[in-house]
Amino acid sequence: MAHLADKLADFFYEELPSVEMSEARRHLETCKECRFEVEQFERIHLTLRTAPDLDPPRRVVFAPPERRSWLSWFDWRSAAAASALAALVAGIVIGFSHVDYKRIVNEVHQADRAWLAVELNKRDEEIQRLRGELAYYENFQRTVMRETLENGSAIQLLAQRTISRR
Amino acid sequence: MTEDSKVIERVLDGDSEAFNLLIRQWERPIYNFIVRMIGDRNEAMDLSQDCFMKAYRELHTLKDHHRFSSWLYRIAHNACLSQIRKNHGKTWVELDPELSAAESRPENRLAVEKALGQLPPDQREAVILKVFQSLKFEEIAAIQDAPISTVKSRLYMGFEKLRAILG
Repeated sequence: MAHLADKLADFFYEELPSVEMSEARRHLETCKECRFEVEQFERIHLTLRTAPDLDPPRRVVFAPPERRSWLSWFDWRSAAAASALAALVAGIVIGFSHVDYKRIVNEVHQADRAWLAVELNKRDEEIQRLRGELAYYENFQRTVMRETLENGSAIQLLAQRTISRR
Repeated sequence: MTEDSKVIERVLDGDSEAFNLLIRQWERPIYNFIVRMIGDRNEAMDLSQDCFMKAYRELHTLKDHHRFSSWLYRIAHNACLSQIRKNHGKTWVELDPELSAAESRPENRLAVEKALGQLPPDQREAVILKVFQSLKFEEIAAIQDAPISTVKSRLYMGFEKLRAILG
């Protein structure tokens, strides 16, 4: 086999086909030049790897868009307007018939109250969620402050070492 | 079918919450790729966040679900290049050694990060994606939208410069 040359990286990262990998290994047993190149390559790779991965300072926050129910298309004002309209229609109808308008208005009010209760419940849940997030960020802030102090100490230490080396 | 592609199917079927599984799987590699590319932890965190949001919005455009990670790195690649262009002229030095990382000497970390910062972005990216993210040359070529031979040249040139800088 010829020298590894431009196949050095493929060999080092084991991306050569298995037959070529075997040939390259056999070649390295006898070729000092290629062995030296591989060692140099490995040395840089390992030096770089002395800087390990960092932990992200916080998690990626993802809130999927909510699917809107038909109820969510109305705010409370439109709901109230709808109730008033229903009461008006009921009143008109009463003019022409003997429908129990009080019962209809009560039913509309009950529906409104139920809807409001659902909305309030949703808001309570949102407040709870935001409190949780706030606690998380407060904790994160404390971690950052602690890390900043630690980093400050490290920089001081480095500065001292640098000065003492001089 | 890979785990990622199963999750992608769920997200595309309307289970948006499942996207969190992809985030948990990839937030650390993507964050580390970006931080090494641009050299600023806070900006890197913001960019990671943006990348995942963009990935969610454009997930339906991903044709091959098995290539999610390459596609995600491609999004991060674009975000980094755009940030690098924006920060043109700004000194690239990460003065923030992660002291909690076991067996990592702060001076090594600083030296490595400073050396990486001296490479042109395309060489730096090839080195990061190969050495730290352990991607195949084929995947890096897809991310950089370049032939495999170009990716390898960038890696060799990057290594040559790093050898000169790091000694």
